[in-house]
Amino acid sequence: MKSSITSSPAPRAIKASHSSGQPNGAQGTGTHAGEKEPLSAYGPQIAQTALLSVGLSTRDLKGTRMSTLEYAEVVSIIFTKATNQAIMLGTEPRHVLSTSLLRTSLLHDKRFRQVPMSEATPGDIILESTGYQASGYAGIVVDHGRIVSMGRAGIVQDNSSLLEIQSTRQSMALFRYVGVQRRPTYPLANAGYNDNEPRLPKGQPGGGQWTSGSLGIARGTRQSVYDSRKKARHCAGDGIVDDEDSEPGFREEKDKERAVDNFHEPTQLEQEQRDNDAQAERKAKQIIEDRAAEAKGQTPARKPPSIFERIRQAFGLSPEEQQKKDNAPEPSQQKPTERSNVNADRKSGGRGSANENTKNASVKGSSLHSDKPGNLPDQLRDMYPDTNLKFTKPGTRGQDVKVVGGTHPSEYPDSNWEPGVDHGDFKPDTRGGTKAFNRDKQTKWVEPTQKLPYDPNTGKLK
Amino acid sequence: MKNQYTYGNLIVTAPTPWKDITESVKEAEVPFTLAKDDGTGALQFSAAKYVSGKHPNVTLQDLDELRNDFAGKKELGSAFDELHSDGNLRVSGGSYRTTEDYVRVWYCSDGNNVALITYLTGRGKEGNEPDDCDAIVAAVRFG
Repeated sequence: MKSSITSSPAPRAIKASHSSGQPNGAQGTGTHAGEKEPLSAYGPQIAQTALLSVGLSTRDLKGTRMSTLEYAEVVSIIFTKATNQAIMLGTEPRHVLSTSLLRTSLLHDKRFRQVPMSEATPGDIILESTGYQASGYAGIVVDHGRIVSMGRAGIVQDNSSLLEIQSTRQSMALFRYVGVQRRPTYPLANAGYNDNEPRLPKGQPGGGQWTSGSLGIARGTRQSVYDSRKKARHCAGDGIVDDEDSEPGFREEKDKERAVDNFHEPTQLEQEQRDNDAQAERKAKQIIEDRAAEAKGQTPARKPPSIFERIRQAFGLSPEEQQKKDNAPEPSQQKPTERSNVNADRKSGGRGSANENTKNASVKGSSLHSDKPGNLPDQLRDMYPDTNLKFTKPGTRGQDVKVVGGTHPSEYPDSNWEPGVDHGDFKPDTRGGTKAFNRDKQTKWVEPTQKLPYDPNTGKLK
Repeated sequence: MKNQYTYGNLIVTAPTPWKDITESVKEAEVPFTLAKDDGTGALQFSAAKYVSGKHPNVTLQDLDELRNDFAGKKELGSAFDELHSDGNLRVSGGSYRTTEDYVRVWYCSDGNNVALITYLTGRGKEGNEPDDCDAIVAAVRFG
């Protein structure tokens, strides 16, 4: 399918529906009963970006090539475009695919407030989630109660309204992005602060704590702190160099600022950085422990391989492993101990049967494979429109068994398996079974195939 | 011991406990399905064979995209235990948990042909079966 961009209507400017003030101003505390939820300064920006996206094919939205995105994904991409924030912390915008997960995330995200539907304003995010495998809904409220969301044929549209959505869908919820929450500062917070009181620097044992008051230590500490801060600032390139005489030490204001800065929810980048740091720390600890153990003449205690390591082993991802895998003998060259499935099936008394658990799982799983929108055939037709692919019809398959090595079944005493025939198919030892076998032989298989008759009552091979 | 099955252009080699139960499932459209007699889940295969036209040259990134798209449309949630293999057989895999189920999804390709493989079982019942399935998927070949 070719990318399509329809002519988008000129976006209308969104009127800022809040009065004034900073984006985060005075929004940190919850609202009391009867009060309206605070308006968001980000709202108009989000709504404006949503309107600018109207008419775009979802394929044109950065980060994806698929033309039929999920509602949640479109909202996520628009939100990130408007705010430069991930709508779900730690999740790439294009990976926000589930409306139910998005709803759960927003409910627990301090950057968002759930607001009553009656208070909908531009930029609010409207969500419906009805659970697994149900089609949820997500959109962004723009002006005049209209909603921008993914439309049919993968085009972002603004042709639905709050009223319409509320009347046609259940369990709707409205979320407002109120931004990073900051801790309010209190004028009396400085009470009792003495600039001359020394504190230990951050990064040292007891860092940030007031010292016992030993002047010598304190002065030395303060000097080193000052030096390091100056160095840090120089490195940061902010061009600020503190005057020696006005060296502020660890001013409480500065600490408070830092505390406030540290208080915000981590951005995706920060979260990744934290994760990386934690991982590096764990690795370093492991190395130190291993070396200590080696020094004591002990074998370092190793944890069992993680699931990733096991999977990597299974798939041979490293070049050496990959090479090993590539050089591995084909199934037909397997060593004699690995006999063909035919023998295995003979021993186990015929074809595989299913218990209730696996039958239920099969029925449920089958819905993931049918030729319906969103499943493999649909996806591939969409992704590779110029390629002719043949989809194997469910229920169609090859022969039941293939001899892949070991003693050929024809070599067994009293075997009626024909030499040189490597395929076999189980069929009931009835007239119908023979008929079906001959039909399959004519229409389904190209390889010579041995009929493997079994007693339909006992399942035993004959 | 191993069994080998052909499903369309897909050649699947599976350890003996995994058996073809396709015909025992009473469902109108059942894909090729493997399960263990004493198992809890079903491993199912869909295959697309390149016939003609522009060679799709399916990349690992494409497979990732297909899987993410699939998981999104099925509301499977976020993936975990993801795996990627960029060898002769390119594989993008990931596990998902819904309120009821554990689902592991693989998209595989040799560059031209594509297969979707899923393993589904009740949430918390997966045990070691996903490990078996990883090995089966790794051994898949296109004929």
